[in-house]
Amino acid sequence: MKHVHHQVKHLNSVSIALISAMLWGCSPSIHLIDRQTILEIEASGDWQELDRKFQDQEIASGPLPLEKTKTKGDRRKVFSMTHSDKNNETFKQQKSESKTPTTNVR
Amino acid sequence: MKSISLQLILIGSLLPAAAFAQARSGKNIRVFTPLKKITVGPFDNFQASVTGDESSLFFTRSQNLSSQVFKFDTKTGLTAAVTKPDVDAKNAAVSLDGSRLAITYFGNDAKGDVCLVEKDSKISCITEAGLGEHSPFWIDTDTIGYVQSNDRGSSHKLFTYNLKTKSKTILKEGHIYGPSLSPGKNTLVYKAQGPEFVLMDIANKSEIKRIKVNLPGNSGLAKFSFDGNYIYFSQYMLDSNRDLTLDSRDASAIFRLKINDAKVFPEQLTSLDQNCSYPTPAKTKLYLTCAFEGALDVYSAPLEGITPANWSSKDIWEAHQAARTYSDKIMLLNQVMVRSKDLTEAEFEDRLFSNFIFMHAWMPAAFYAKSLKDKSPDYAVQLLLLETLTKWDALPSKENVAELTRMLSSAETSLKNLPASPMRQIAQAHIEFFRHRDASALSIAKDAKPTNTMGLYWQTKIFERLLASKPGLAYENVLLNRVVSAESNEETRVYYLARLFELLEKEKSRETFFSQLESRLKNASDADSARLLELVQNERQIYRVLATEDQTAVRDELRQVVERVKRLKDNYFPLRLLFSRTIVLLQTNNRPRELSRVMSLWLSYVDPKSKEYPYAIEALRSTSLEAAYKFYHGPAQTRELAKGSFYSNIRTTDDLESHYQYVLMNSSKDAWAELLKTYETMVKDELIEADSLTFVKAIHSTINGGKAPSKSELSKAASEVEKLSDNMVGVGAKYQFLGYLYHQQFQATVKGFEFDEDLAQKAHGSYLYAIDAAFNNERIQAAALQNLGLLHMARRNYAMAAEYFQKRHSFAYEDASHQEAITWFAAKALYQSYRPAEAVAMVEEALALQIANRNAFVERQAFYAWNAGQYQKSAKLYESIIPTLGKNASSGIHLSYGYALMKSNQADKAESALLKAVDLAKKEDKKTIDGIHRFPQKIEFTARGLLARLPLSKDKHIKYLAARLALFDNMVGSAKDYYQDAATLKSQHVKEQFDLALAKSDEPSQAGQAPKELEKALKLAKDFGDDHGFLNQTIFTTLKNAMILGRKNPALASKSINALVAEISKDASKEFSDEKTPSNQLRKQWAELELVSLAYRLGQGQDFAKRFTEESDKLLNGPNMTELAKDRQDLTASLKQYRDKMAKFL
Repeated sequence: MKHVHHQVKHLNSVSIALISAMLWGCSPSIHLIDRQTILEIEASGDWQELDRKFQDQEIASGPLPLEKTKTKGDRRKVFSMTHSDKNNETFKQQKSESKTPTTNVR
Repeated sequence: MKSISLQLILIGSLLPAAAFAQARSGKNIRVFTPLKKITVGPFDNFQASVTGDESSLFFTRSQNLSSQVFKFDTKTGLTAAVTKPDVDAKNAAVSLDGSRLAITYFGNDAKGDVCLVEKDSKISCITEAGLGEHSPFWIDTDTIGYVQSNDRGSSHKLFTYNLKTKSKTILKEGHIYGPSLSPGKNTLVYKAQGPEFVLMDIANKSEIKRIKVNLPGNSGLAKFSFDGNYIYFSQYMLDSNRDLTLDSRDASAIFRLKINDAKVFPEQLTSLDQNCSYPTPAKTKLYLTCAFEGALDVYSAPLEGITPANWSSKDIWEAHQAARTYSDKIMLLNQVMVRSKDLTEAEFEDRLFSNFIFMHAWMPAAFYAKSLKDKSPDYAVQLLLLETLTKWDALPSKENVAELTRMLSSAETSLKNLPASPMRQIAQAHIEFFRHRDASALSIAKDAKPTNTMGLYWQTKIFERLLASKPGLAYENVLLNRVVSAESNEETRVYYLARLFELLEKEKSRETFFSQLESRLKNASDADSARLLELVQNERQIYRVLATEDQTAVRDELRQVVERVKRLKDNYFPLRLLFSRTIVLLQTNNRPRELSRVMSLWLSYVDPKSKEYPYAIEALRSTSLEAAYKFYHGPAQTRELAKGSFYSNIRTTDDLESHYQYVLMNSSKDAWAELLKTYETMVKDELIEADSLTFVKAIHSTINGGKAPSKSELSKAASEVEKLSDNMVGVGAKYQFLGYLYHQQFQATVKGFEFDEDLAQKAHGSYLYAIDAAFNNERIQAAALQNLGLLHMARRNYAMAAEYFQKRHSFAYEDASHQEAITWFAAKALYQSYRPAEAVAMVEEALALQIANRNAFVERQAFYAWNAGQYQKSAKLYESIIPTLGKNASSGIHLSYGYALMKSNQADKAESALLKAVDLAKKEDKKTIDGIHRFPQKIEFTARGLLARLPLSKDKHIKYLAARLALFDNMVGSAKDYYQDAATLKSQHVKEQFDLALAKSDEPSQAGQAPKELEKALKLAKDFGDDHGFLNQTIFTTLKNAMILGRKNPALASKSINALVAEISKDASKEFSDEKTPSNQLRKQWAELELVSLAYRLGQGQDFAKRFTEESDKLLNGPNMTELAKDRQDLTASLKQYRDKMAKFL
């Protein structure tokens, strides 16, 4: 599906712009360009090459090889220990219980 | 094979052979069945309704404070709006055959109507404005049911409406919330006022039965299962917003009830951690809304929930033992009750009670305490304590406010009425603490001798409150006593030991403390103490490893760890703590080699079929990856170690992230054939899944020896990756890569302002799936976020791009060059979304780094600075950067420089900068940037406009104004091409021509030319009026100014000028008289013009003021003003003031 871009925010008289182009002899597509876009093109440097270079460099196809991450190992759920939920038995009853099952250990 | 062999040598020496001998199946890498994300943010998506064949899903999306109904197509994966954004709509209900969609719609009635959505989002409502109608549901394709509520929401009526006969019938009146009909049957369920659901037969309008929900908190609305045997609902159980009420703003879990069971027991299907609500059971799947990192989305799960249907009682108990969170334990205990009834109801409630306490969820714990309080006075004491804690936690300030005092006094009194017991003493100690009586609290707590572990827990808690922040090791000693106490069970003692180890991590006198602990454990005679002693010795041993780099010493120490593991291998909790502590210490102290060895040791002791295995795999995967990335960033020689680590991780965990990095590190053409052979062998040996090979081949197809992949290569790779199972380890990497494949295809379709929106949506969705799947994996989250930023930049959706870049910026970067690139785009997105000050700050962050493109960044800093109103700073930056930019200092840059100077009151410097801009613009050619044309003529025009506005000499002002005026004809003629509005330009032309006339009349040497210039201005005004009408500010201002000027200066009231004024006035007058209902503002402007005309006609004279006042009175009392006074007396009053000023000053 071809998408025609419409941007309608913050339009003002300085920058309302209409570009019309005939598409296959049908009705023209109308794009509303906002003030900031026009201003940036007319009143600042042209860094198209840098834009392209940065764009190609930064589209990441996979996980970024970051050396430092904020996630602390000791906070991970996998290392947390939980309190036993067999709690309301008296101490004596608990002592007579069999040990925890060990079915998951080879 | 050389490189792989080398890696095996490097890593193999650290790992026991057993670690390589694991054959995995994708099915046992997770304990529970994962939820599958369907919708994607960044907006909240919730309340799904699904067609019978589950091909389409309708949901509500809440964005920018409005709600809209959307459709998700499960075949294409695309989302589209169903209702328009300008009117709120929600509660989508699709008919079973998918042919009709009903919603609650707010377009005609703020209280809501039940409406149908027809073709092209056309809405036709079946209810009328007045009362609120909502909650539609389908009885058959021609009949809708819905609820009508009164304004207070206290009374409800249940209606049916036949679309063919357009007739409605009332079924029931009362408290009716969220009705749902059993598909194809006559049974309806709705929520009543209390904690119960009502089943009703709609054929004979009779109530079948009421089902009481015996759960803490509040129930959400119920939905019938497809087979009609169950009702599904959410139960809001945790007071997550701390408002002392459990309602739909709190955390919830999904439950289902078998409606025909004699004794109804709600079955918990999701864990409270997942915070899911709005269940919609369909034929094959359950659709539900869950909150992830604050955002709501629709997910799917098996109908039986996340606990696999084929689990036996043994499986559930094993999962309960291995559980890492209390909310998982709570769900599993519920599953025990549903599937095997291994526990009595009282035992079950007691366990839930304690788990809720451990997770500090006082309100649900109090629910169970209430239920159990007749079984033992301890529950009654704890109920009181829990109720006090609930209120204590919710109080914003813990000062001794009156409310707090009252609450504590009342708790104390209630407590005294209960029988004396150690538990009562402990509760009393808590209340003393809340009353800021710490000494008394401590003394009472010390005296108490708890008789069960719950008492011990509460006692430990009060000691923690009283002692943990105090110097010395008082609280650590409390924990020590818990550890050595042979009265508690092993799991509890291990828990306290874990807490103690954590507290001692930063303690200098740790060794002495450990010695004491060891000696106490040595003196104990029970077997548990012997094992706990092993754990303390292990902890000390790991600290010794951390203290040395000597490899022989490290090997000796680790050998002892291996021996200890052998001794503890049959003791689940001690072994779990041993590995947890060892891994955490090695990881946080950056010891990747030792970490790899211990991780593999752990894996070699865990049965791949056990419920512990997924945790071990996840730990191994994440810690090995971190180790691999440390090698990756190390000196050149450790790069091989990084390769080895990724390879080892592939063989042990079959993790997609490791596959990705490993392929990238072996991407040379020569290495591929060998790599492929290795992969095929791993698949054959069942070390990795065949899907992993598909993933690797897809990655390789896009690397292509450094050549950019073609569209067909990208598309083929995407269709292969789409098919990969979501059960793979590290599935976030799959979606990141898939997003990239769609993103690159999308990028190829961007031509100026046009692009393929479907591809953009697919890329967007994949990246959000990646973020969801990569919980806690910052490497994938950062990659997905920056790609989302880039994707939305290309779509020119700058506000969204800025949000994604800012989130990305909260993570680390690989190096300064990547930070440079991302901040470049982030700043641009911020500027484009009208946040220039933040754009400046972002650029400045980059400039603080060693970056390669400093000039570009300084230029951007200067540009964003003046946009943020920081003119002086901007001017200084331009001054410094323009000389270094050389030929790149274009006319636009000089224009901005001139503007910044002008705004910082440096007119002379501004003049030369703007003249330079004009000079350069004349030499530059038109070019196209991002599909937009840059015309140097327009830059010259703007620069000349600024020159004319500078506070320079009169001569210069006239000169610059004249030069600017010379450009207007061309500008107006090509307004569209120059992205200008012709009417605005023409109006500006009139104004500036008038300014020239005025400037010349003020300058004696040129005053002779003033009448001619004024004539020009009036001619331009006449043209403007002919094209755009005469009743506007441009005409009014021109006429008024011309007349006022002519009155003061007779030279400017020549015949030809007067003729033009009269002509324009006549045209304006005609237009005004043609206006049937002039607006109040127009009436006022017209009256002002008439007043000026009157003054003009009366001319100068001694009695002007008198004559003017008399004549103008007629005007101000005329029909125009009488009409205006009816509505706006303030405007007529201001007109009178205007008239009085004219009389005085003209």
